[in-house]
Amino acid sequence: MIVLGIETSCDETSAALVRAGREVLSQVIFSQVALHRPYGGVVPEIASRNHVEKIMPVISEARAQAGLDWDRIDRIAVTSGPGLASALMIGVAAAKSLSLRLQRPLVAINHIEAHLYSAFLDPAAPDPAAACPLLVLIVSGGHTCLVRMSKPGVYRLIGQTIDDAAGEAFDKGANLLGLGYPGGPAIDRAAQNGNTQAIRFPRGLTRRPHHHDPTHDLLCLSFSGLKTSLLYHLKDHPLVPGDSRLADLAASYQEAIVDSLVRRTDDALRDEPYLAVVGGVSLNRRLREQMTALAARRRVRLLMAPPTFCADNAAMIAGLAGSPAFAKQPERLPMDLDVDPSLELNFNLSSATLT
Amino acid sequence: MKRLILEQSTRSGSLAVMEEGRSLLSRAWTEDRFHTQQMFGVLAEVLAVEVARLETLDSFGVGLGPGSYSGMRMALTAVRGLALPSEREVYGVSSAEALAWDEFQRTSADRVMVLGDARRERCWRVGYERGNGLPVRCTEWELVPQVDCFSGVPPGARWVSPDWERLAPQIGAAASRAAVDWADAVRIPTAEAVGGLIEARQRVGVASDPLEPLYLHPAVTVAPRY
Repeated sequence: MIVLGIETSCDETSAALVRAGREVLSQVIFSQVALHRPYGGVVPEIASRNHVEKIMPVISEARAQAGLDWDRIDRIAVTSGPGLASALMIGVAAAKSLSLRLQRPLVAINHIEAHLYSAFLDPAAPDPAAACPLLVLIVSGGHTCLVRMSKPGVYRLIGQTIDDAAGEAFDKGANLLGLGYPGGPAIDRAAQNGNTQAIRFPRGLTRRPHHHDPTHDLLCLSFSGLKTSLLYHLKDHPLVPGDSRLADLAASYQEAIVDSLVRRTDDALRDEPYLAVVGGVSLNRRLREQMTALAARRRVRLLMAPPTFCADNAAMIAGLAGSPAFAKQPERLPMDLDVDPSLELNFNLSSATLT
Repeated sequence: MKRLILEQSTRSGSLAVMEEGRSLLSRAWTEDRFHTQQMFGVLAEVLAVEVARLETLDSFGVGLGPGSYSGMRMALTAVRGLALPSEREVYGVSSAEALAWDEFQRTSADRVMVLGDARRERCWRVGYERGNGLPVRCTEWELVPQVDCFSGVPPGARWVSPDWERLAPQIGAAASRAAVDWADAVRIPTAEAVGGLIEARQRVGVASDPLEPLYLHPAVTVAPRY
């Protein structure tokens, strides 16, 4: 089965063709990062305008790169949420019109679940069913959560951020440090020769009652206090141009984010044979280093998506829609499909093993 | 040449299948908030009708606004998606020009001013004069404060607006002062008007407008709060 995937949930316009859920035949991503950089974050209206402009050339190029005729496409898959409403609706409109034109089924995909699936786009990754039970850290600009997958498609929420996502914490920190946008790569670069212990920033770790399961606590993360701590530190110790403390500040700030993520993942690990770390923030070098160390210490196999599939991309959308293990069924009434900016993963407690 | 046209720059969306300027089939719907649902439902229903089957369509047309951002984007993306696999032509025109063209067909007016709600207490307006079969734009696209929306325009123009319901409370008094008869000014751009204008333009070799929604505002940006 060959699936055309379409992704426009935020500031990347992407299309990909994937065979049988794992073989990426082509992928095209138009990143709008440069357009949003002057504003220090994603501007929804700019994102939507550019999706309208780029979506058809991107789809056309993905099809051409795969070298396939249109009639070889078996399904159209599209991100229906979560994300920016005005951005999501462009991808959904494109998918609906192609579904009508090609007379192919339309599949709605949850963006968070697709990030989770991205770990299986690595050709070396096991079959999703064989990797279960699996603990997944989903860490991106919009989402930070820990999920246990007991079998493909059956999830239990183990922990999540109670305020900012880790990617937001990087963006906000980079802004305060004058490092520009996007913050993740900027802080990663600035921190390269810095001392991670130079300043002790707070680790926002807490527990809260599980909203799906009152008998268990959620392992929560919090990054808003960290950002405030950096803000006050800079008020007391302002940086000057060319300040040699920048690398230490960036490294210490990054360490606080990474340490929180690693500690919470460590807390959440039970007897899972596999640990996956997915999402745009999984590109962070310090996080990769520390997660690799954690996996070795806890004797679990670490799954990380190849870099091309870490940030928002359409291959993960097409892959999930075409994966036999996840068996995403086409929508019965595809023209009724609407965007859902607040879509959550479907956490199925009854199927999950409580630990 | 058979063409499917979508117009969704207002809450009243419409679709038409036209051939040589003649409407073979048309549908209309009213959206409340999002435009995605009804338009695609109608589209699916229409494409199943014999006269509108996709393989019989030679090209597509679309109204580019100004108007509802979501509506314009949905309609433009839909026709481009339908046209993409077989590389069919997509021809876009301003929905305001289609309104003016339709008005010149219906009346003997020599000048039509089209007025719309640009939000934030402003209106957009543009003027057309009767040309040789086609409207000729005689003013710039303008954003004007609602209270001044009729000023600076020579008398005698016929005013039409797709947004009268929204604008009436704000500009009703100004309309009276300018002697604009709103009872006869409410006009909604339709797919048939867009199709008629496209046909007329192509007859004299006028190319499509750039295939992008007509945005009269720059994107609104708000600095992130940290």
